[in-house]
Amino acid sequence: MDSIVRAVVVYAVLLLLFRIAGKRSLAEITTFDFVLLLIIAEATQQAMIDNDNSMTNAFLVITTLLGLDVGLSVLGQRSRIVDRLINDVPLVLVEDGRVLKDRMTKSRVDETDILQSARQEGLERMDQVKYAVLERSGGISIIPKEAG
Amino acid sequence: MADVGRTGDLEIGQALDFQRRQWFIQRVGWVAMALVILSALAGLMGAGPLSHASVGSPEGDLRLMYPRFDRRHAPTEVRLEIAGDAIREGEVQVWLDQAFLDRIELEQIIPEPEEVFTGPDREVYVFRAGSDPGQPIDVTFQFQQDAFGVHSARVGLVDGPQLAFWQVVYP
Repeated sequence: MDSIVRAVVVYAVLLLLFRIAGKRSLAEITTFDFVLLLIIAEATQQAMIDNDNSMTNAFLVITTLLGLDVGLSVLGQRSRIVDRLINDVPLVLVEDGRVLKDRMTKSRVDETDILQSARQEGLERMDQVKYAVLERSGGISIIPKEAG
Repeated sequence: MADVGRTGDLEIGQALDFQRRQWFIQRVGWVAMALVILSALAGLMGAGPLSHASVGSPEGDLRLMYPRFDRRHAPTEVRLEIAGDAIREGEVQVWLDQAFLDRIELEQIIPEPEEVFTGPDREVYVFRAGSDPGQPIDVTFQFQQDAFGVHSARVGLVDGPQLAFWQVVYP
């Protein structure tokens, strides 16, 4: 019972912290972000496992975490508000070639981030971007202006 | 549930009201995170200046230094200062109440007691004084908290003063 309570608490606290930190936090993983993720995992693990190194405990914790994940995704499919609370909403940052500065500042995205994603689409300049969307996952997708 | 609307040519489920509320809540959350870190630095969540507490007997012959805020399963300690005049016939008998002992995992006592025996609702530790009779004795109990919550505990000298203190133990 103990391990399930631990897993639920850890899941809830992590979900809350990462939602507060915002989707930009660890979305585009740099080398340092990756190291940070490992450290977070290490710090979490101790609290979740406590001193119980049994396989049963490990399976219980994993089952609880995955169960919560599946449960919340099912709930998210049925309720729009749960879906938004857990998964966030997409946000248009460049609308029809117009750069929406205010939204970018608030989501901690700058033009270099958008240009980086644009380059991955083979674009060279900001004026070739028709739409840029900050996705729920934290990535930026780019829709180029039609040629001509 | 994906709700898909339209923004320009994009079929996208933007929700600007939700987004604005979320930005606001996130900023409140950042302040909360900063407050958590500051309070932890100050000692509200474990070792630190606000956690360090002490309680003494009115006669001044017994003093206890203890952390007001502790964490479960983290190493911690309390220190007892016993004045020279509380030591009788070269020895002093310190007791800890059993309810306190039941909540902790006692790891080490410094100096090691000469003798330990169980009294009514308490455990008694006997320490021998050094060659200098008026010399005070410092006893340190190193342990881990086993149960979280707000606990009160008592410690004292047999036929002498007793001290009560409370601790908050975080999970």
